[in-house]
Amino acid sequence: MLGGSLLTRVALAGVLAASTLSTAVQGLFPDEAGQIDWHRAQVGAPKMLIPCTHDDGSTSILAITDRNVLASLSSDSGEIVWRQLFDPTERINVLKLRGRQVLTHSGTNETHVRVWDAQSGALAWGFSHPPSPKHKSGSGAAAFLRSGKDVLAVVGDSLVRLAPEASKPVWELPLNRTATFKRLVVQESVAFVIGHATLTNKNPTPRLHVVEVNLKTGLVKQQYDVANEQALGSDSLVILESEEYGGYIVWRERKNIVWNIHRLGMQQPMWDIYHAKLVQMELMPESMLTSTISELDTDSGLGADKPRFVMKYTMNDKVKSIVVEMFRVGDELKLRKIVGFRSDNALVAGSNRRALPSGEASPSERAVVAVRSSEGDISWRIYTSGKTPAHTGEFVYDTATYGPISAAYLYYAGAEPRVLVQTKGGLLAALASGSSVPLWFRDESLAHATDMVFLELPAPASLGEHAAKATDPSVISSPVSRYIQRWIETARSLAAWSRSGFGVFGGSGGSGSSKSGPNSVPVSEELVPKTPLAEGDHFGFRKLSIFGTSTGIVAALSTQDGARSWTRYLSDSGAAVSVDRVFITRRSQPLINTPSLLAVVGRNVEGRAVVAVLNALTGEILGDGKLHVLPYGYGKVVELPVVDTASEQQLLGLVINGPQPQLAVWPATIDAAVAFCAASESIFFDIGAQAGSGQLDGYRARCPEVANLDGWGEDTTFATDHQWSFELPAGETLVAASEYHGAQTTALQGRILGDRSVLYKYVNPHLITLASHRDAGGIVIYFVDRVSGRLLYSSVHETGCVSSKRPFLVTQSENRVIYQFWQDSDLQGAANQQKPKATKGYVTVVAELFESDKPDTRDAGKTFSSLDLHLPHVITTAFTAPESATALGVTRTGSHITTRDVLFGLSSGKLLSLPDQLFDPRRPKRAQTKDEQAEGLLPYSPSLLLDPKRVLSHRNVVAGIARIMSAPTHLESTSLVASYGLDLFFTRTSPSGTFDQLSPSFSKVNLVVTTLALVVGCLLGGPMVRRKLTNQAWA
Amino acid sequence: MPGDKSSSKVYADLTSLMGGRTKGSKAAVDPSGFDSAVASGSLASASTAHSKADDEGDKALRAKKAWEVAIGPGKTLPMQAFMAWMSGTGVSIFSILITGMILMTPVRTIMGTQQTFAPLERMATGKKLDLTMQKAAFVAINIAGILFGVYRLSIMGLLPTTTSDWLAFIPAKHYAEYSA
Repeated sequence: MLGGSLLTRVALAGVLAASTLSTAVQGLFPDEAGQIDWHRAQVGAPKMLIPCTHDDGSTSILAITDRNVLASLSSDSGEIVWRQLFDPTERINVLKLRGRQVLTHSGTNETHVRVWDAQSGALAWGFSHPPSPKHKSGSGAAAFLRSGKDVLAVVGDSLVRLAPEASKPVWELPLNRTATFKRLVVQESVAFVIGHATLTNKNPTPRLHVVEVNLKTGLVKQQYDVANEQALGSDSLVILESEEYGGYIVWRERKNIVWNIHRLGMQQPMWDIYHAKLVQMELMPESMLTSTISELDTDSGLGADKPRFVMKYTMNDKVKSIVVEMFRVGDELKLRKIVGFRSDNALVAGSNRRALPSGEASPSERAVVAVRSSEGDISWRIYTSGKTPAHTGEFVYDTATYGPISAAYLYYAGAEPRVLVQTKGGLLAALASGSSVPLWFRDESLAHATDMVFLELPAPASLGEHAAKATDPSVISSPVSRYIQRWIETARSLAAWSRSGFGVFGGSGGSGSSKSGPNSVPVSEELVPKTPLAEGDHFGFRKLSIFGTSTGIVAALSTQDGARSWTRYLSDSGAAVSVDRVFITRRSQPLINTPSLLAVVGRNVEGRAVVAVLNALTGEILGDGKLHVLPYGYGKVVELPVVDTASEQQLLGLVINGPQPQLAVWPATIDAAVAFCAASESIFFDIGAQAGSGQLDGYRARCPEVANLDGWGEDTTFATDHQWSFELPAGETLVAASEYHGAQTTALQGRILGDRSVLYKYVNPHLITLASHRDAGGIVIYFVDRVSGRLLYSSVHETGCVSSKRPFLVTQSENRVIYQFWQDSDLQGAANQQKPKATKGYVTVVAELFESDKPDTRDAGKTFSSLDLHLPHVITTAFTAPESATALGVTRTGSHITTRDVLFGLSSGKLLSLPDQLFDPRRPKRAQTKDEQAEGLLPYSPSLLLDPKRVLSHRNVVAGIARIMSAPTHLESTSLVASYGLDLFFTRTSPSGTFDQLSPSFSKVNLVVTTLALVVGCLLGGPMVRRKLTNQAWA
Repeated sequence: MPGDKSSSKVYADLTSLMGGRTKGSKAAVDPSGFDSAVASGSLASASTAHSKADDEGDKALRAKKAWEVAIGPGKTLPMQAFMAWMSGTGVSIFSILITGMILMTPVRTIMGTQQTFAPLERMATGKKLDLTMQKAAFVAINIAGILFGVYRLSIMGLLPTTTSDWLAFIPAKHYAEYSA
């Protein structure tokens, strides 16, 4: 028995060893890691920050972000100390800190309450509440109890007290949908749950509902309504918490100058307090009516011994702020103004420091910062008392780069105050006094990227060209002068090379320069580079990757090292434009001085289309920096195959949804409209290819007579004619749709089989893949032609299922469609019980489309028209996928002679690249025939393995990959790969090996030395041989 | 003195023999190997005299020889086939060399057809023997050799005879419509 197992093991080891030897090593060389790739770890734009001092005295900043990340940032460098990624749909609602413990409350329907260790980021304990039908949308709050480690939380439609060691709640109190509860005020023995009361016909006035709960028993002590016509989070109501004094609600009724103060838990007394008393000064009635109040500290429970709030009012056209502190003398509640200053549009924040146990409040604990942004800089002042600031500082900042300030925070590193500002664009910068540049900054805008394009940079111009451009264009036109210039340039670079100690031979060759990645040093990078990147390299590795984000940022980064080239913040009427798509509409030609143009399309807060045209190299917005706000919203934006001759820009089409869809073209000029009309007959577009839809409709624009195009402008659009409808069967909903991205280039029109016949590829650029979810269970796949609306192929996966956590992923490339979904064997219907049981797991399906099932059969004709009836022959196969993925992609090269690797963005933060060969649906499932062997088909194996050598991201954890992009370089073997989502990761890969490059181990020095040695040998040997021959002749 | 008639001790006058030789007289038989025509110094008249019968034989002999030459390459074909079989149909340096040899030898031989047959063609009379048939056979057999080489190329897959060989030259289709 033992011998048998030993034998098996030895045999297995032998097979394993053989398999490792037989596979070509595709991994990365150790010296390439971090050289050819770069990774930027991100957390997203923070929605709440809490400074946190650890036991060892170090400070970090806890953050929850819009990308559902809980992170701890170093207060000295802004680097991520740790981060915890929540599910993409699991919104984090609450962040609280007590000592070392961090409390989060997340999820919308299914609720999770978790407690983390602030220093290590480890999960201490957690509680999950399943989705509840009684869940009141918007409800959710959590807080630590005063003593002990228990947590109180609103989950589903209940209030629960949770204990770390117990798996079940200590008690659960049903809240009976009386309100949308959003706030908890915890006191020693009772807690108050506060929310917006549910409106009824009997009582339709908005108001707050308060439930007082006994913490020990979990029973309701009392519940009542308070504060009519008020809402939590409005600018005329604050809730103040104090360990000593209890909790209070302070509000001002509309059109009333009287402030009301209610002590929680007491129906009476409720105080009315006059404005004058509150702010301790007399004001004009209108100033009182327009005054606003807001809470000062992020976590109001933290430093709330003397609760305080900010009031802003306008007097004599000047905006002033005062900070009011609450205290009590005996039973009497008093308010006291501690700071008052002119604030204008400043943001005011507190230090959020917990008071020292001694009770002696140091000034820093009560400090308040006012941050004001103006043209060209951000100034901040820290007040501890009175009117004079204790610290001031300025920071040179252009709001056109990252937008105006949206939030400010104050924290202390030791005794040093630090001001943290966050901008609407997604920049987080830490400022310290005495410095006009930030101590550190984090650009979190790209965690919100929605689209990205690659822009080819002009190849490095020779010195001759530079000189010509700078001085005299005639120099460049003369070949002789160009030739001389080239020699001068070569001589100079040779001199420079010899000066550099003959170190790097060949300059910007394949091995790259030794710059450190941008993820490690956020500080050394300039916030706004002085000169944008304007030059590429000879190999096309350095391009610009231009991102558009939902935070209104358009940013250009170098693909080689991630260095920012330029950044622009787009805003309309004070709010960020949510950028949807970015397009390169004009590519600059060498030696012609027309810049590449970038068209950015987004939506403003009203949902209207906003278009901006930028110089793609500098980020400068053309047309005096003006954004074009169009008088309509749009469903989608598409590139049109038409170029406007006047501006040399490619036309964009904005599809306006509605019962009668319309098409608007950009640029909105008569020339563009005429150019479009000349080609509009053959341009089709469709509506409805998004999740949740039930049908697809095809349209074509209806062009009026050219004479009627007079007066064409931004408010005019083309009407459309309905062409076709593709309706999904009843009980099916679309879950995913995918089309081709970019033009498809094909090196070979067919696949060569082992007997040297050809299966012709069916490459239909109008192919769209639709995946629909059946109510009865299962997924149905449809391949539809977008011009004719014709169904080309369909297939049913009975056991497929789609959810937000297990999305359906699909990618199309050339004649191949690859998709991945979750297969649940439990869904196997009764009818299919006889079949072998399906496995539970992720399944990757490959469908390859051919013109015919017979080799050497092809549609005659040089033109492909979707309107001709021609159905593809589809061959499919399925594999079990290595891991759950979040994105799929395929590499692209210049001519597509190189095979295409299939790229997987895995949930575990890896970017995996698997060879094209594995995804061949023709892989034989029996012994290979001779022809199949000759064709190089691998025998089928049902699982795709996660080969560590093929993980492009190597040691990096690339979190939340949402999209994988690829661009060709000037080398056919090499392809640039970029992924974005939460993190950014850029690298380059050679799917078929670097067949057009010298290997990294190739020694150019040896080559030169050998050549020189041979030359020397010839020079020395020549005369010797000649002499010998002469001597022989005389002998 | 040697050669001098007057000082010779033995003197034989053979003129009578020369002149007295008439048709039908068998008085004196020429010694074997003696050619009276050569002896009398008139070679031309001698050859015409006795060629009639010999000419035919020579022609036949030459033709026969020419046939042998013509069929000669055919004899090497089985050897080449054997070598080809031994080298296999895979594309390797050895099989390519063999195939190259199989192809090049007949081509070179065909080019040298005239030289090969030239000695046989030139008859003693100065006339040219007509060896067209032999030449035709010689060329045909060499062409067979070439065909064998071509066949080998084809079984080695080196002939561009299938659609896949021309696939790279097929242009991509033009798309009549545009979808967005």
